[in-house]
Amino acid sequence: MSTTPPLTTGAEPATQTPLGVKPIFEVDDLQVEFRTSAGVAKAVNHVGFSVAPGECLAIVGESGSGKTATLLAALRLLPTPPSRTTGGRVLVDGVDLFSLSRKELRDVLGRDISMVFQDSLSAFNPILTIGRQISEGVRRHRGLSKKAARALSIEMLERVGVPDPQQRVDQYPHQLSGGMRQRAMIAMALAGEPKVLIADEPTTALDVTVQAQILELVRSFQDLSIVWVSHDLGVVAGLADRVAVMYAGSIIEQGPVRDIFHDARHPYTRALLGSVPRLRDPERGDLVSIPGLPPSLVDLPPGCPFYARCGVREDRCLSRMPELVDVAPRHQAACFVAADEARTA
Amino acid sequence: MGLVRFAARRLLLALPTLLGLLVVAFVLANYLPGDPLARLLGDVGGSDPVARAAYEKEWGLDAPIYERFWVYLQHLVTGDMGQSTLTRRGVADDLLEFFPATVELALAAIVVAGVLGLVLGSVAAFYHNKWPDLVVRTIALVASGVPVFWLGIIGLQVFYLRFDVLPGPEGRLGRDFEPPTHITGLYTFDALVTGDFGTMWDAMRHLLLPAFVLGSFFLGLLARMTRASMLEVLRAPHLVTARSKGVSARTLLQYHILPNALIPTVTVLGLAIGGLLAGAVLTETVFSWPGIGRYAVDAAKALDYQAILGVTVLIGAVYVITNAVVDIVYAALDPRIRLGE
Repeated sequence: MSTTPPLTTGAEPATQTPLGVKPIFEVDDLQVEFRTSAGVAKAVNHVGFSVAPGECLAIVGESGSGKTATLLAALRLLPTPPSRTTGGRVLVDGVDLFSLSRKELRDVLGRDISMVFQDSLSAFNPILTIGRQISEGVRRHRGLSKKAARALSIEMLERVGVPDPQQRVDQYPHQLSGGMRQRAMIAMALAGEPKVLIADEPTTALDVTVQAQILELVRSFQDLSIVWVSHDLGVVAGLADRVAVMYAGSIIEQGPVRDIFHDARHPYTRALLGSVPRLRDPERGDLVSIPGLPPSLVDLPPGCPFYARCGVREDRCLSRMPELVDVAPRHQAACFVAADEARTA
Repeated sequence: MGLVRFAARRLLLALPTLLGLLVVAFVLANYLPGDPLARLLGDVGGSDPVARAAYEKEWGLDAPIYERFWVYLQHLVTGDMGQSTLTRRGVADDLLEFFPATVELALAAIVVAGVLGLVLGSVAAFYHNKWPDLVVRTIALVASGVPVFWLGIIGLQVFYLRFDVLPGPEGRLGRDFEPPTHITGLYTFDALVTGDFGTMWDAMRHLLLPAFVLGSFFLGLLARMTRASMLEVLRAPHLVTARSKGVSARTLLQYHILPNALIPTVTVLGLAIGGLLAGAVLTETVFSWPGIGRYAVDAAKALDYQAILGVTVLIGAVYVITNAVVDIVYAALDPRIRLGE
């Protein structure tokens, strides 16, 4: 594998978010609904998180937990209808995306914040060359000439470690291997030198060795703030500074990556990690899978959405959704039981 | 480049198809029921074995079929398609005279069906499940469902007999107009080139209704195809990618939505050309249009085998060639075809 120089150099790696640093990307109280034939599905419920400059936040959760919907809605990329963003605020470097006109939004997307998608084959336009697609956003943002845009595309392909960039730049998506295509997509997302990169399960479709190369590549861009969506906890452990866990459209726990993996407090996170829920029942054995299914988003119960599957549930969990509260420094969980335990500890 | 090689290969592949077409057309014409000799020699001569044998010998009809096919093929490559027993002229000359009228009608129908089909289909897709979508879907269903001859007659009833805004079934020009100088045989084009705008206007007025009637089926088909492929592209993940890069609305439409949505439509449009030539038979009959459709009907009624064969070969050849051209255009639009294995 060829070396992959960082996008910008000279910055120290930010592994921890110093308290008080102004976040570069902030999602606040986001609510998204989908109109379906069965009724209105509440896909994203009061989701909020923030990412500091240079920080990598991982959002984990099973399929349908609202990870992708949250991020697409935040960037106003969800088709409306059937979706509707009913509340919230999204700030990119202080700019509120929801207050922008369509045209102003286009100036922010691809320049300040950009996205990498899961399936690189369907995420590329099949009938345009790789090079064209890498530079087309930047061409508009910076008013580049065709020639300069092509040079930029070649440079970006080289940076993400695509061999023969001079030749690849004129090829079409279907002519590249899956790993090369994913690199090209990262090149495309980074071509505008954004401050924030949103990666929606970018390694899920790749085999393990290619996945490791892509992770190494992403790690090399140290200045970049990253939101990494994944259901692969192994990937998250090696990449993220902080982790947010989503369940049924809500963030139910978030904290530093070490806390989440070694000191998870929410029973869902524990179950997800396959750890032993020790809260009230120390004798319980390992959970291989979580029994039951997530609740229907069309008919969410008023209380905790994990109630039906929870090993430590109590009657009060049925009355209302527990809020995210501090259970450790910079570590929050949305669980009455975990909150009590944190208070008495 | 990939496209040139693709085009060359595709055109070469069209040759055996053309040959196969000739064989099938020739054999079919040979074994069609009906006795052309009875017609040609009259009731008396047709039932006289001596006259029949003499006639068959004269025209080589006593030779085995493969020998006659070989003779036909040899003449065909020199542009000789045999004699029409009806017009007493060379079939090739007849076709040259009648074909431009059909081509002009088919081209006008393609323009009507293509433009309206694409526009209506796009409108329906952008207003998916709203009232414009419903209106377009209804139009499309009716346009492709109503028989051509019925639509033609109703069109004449309304626009000619009742409101008198369009000419009646009197062919390509009104009585007061002379055909323009022959250049291509397409009256509108020839009149335009020679600066004869009065004739051009009259030719266009005569074209309008038949073109609509002939194109209606493909108009409906194209509207529905365009709507479906447009809806698919509007939902495609790569459109989200493009929007996430902040490209302009124009770039989005011009490079991401339209080219992808038009790929299936081009296929239908190409096939429509062949279909329109064949479908012209009914329209030409209704509107007294002097094209090969009407020529074919007259030839069939007169059991004029050489003429029938000539029309079949011509329409078939146009079909084969447009098919090849469609494939090449398809490859030009879609690199996955052009550069695929």
